[in-house]
Amino acid sequence: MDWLRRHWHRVLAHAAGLVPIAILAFDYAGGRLGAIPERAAMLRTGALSLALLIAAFACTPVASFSGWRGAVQIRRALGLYGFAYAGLHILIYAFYDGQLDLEFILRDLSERPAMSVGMAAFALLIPLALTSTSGWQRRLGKRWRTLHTLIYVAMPLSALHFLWLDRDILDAPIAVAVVIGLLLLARWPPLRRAVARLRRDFAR
Amino acid sequence: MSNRISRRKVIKLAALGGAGSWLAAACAAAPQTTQPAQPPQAPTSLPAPARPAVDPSPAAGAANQVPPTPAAPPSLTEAVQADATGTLTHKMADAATRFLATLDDAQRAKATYAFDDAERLRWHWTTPRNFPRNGLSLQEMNREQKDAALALLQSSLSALGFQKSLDIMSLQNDLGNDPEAYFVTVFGAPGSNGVWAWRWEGHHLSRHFTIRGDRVAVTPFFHGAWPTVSNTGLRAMPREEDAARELIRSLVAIGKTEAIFQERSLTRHVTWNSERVGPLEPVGVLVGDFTTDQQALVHEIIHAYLDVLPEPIASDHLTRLQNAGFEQMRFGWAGALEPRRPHYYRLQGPTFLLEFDNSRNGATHIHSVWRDFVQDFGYHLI
Repeated sequence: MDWLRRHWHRVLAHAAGLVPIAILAFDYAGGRLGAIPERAAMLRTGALSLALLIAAFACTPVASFSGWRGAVQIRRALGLYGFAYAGLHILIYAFYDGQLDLEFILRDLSERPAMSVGMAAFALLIPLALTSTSGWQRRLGKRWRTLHTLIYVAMPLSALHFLWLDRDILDAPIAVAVVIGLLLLARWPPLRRAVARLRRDFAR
Repeated sequence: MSNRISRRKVIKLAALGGAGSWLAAACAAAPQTTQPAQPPQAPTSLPAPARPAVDPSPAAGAANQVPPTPAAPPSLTEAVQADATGTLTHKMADAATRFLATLDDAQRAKATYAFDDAERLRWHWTTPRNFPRNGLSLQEMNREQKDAALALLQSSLSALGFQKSLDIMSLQNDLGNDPEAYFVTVFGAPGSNGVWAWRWEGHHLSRHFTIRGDRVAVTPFFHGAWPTVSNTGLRAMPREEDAARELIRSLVAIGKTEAIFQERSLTRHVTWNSERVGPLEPVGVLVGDFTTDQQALVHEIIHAYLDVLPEPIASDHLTRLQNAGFEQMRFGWAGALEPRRPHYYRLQGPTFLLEFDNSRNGATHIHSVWRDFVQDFGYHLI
């Protein structure tokens, strides 16, 4: 029980990553994904990927604004789950939309900006996922931090991917773009310094 | 110390609450499986670039060549059916006039254009976000105005055509689009002695009606469906796809493999949103070489498109294309023969072209267009 009290946030992060895939598999097996299950699975994995990446992206601001170090401890897990869902999303796209036809997929990427920015965002996430371990962090030293600033490009590209899909109702894509914009703003050094000052004053 | 502990508790509770609600939302997240809005209902009062893009593909053939301006002699069938179409065009003019009368001045200004405005020839099938439409959308109308707009559409189509239009519009729910993002635009003065036109357009539905007196042109018309089967099991364009597949399979079964003019699907229809089109490169096989059963399937494909029109117009089109030479039509297929695999087909006769493309999104996304080499946009009426 004591372990759970100390690690509840880690449990929550892993649940956030694993429970949705279990539900997706359950829905797929039970035929509850609609008439075109591949499409429903593609959309659901895309939404989950975006939600988990945003959660990971929010960890640093949450930690610096609240002083709660637990947020930093679950950042990697959330980011890796987000990356895994993005990979699954692309895999389903390649099977369902692209019919595993490379020429067709390349043409689709060139014709539809939403597809090309989405793929670019995923490509930027690959080195981040590969170097997310403590070993790579040690090996790369200061360069690790520089490399991981790629997330500042990948997140806006993900938002653009969502915004540029063929949809007329943009409530959800705009909400995602605003949240990502706010999380980027939260990293702005003057804002971070001001918050740190406030926290110190509050602690006194 | 107590302050720190209480803040931790607050953070913990907030995180638990947030994560819980996020999990609930994410687990249920299938944005396209919900039905956020109802499709437009039948009326309660009643039961870009202006110039087309040039297609670079070799299959485009002569598509980009604009045919010479055709002469406009009324066909025999037009004369025979003048009474029936006359009643029809009067109904259309009345419905258009009633629709315009329900609008306020600002709405009317938005919904109307001069007949010779270039806007009349600017058309597309994509979402209004990708290709902004001019005219008045259902979203901007009150209930009475929507009823009048739908009554206008109903007056211009058969019962089957009206229902198919509503089905295509309702599919927008599955795509996260607004099923009311459809625009009505009137060109010229309805019912006048001169020529007038009106258009109903939005995602996957583009219908153009050009009317002069008792004569009416209904092409180009575009029908699309994505997904091909909705989450509620609706198929907006079943026979357009299935009858053609049955036909190509039966042709292949008797060795007419030349009907497949390309192994890979085309990925899009060739004529795109061209203002005028001429015959494309002849592909596939002559309908005259088909068996009776195969010719019946060709008839079924044609009827799947023409039966959406009011009876006199559908009959007129059918007679025209038969007089021009039913046996001279060619049917060509590109792509896989199995369902849910990308495919394209083309049915072309001396007077018309039907293109059907279902190549995208795992062959669950249909684009189809019917073009008339003479009557598109009512050129023969002007």
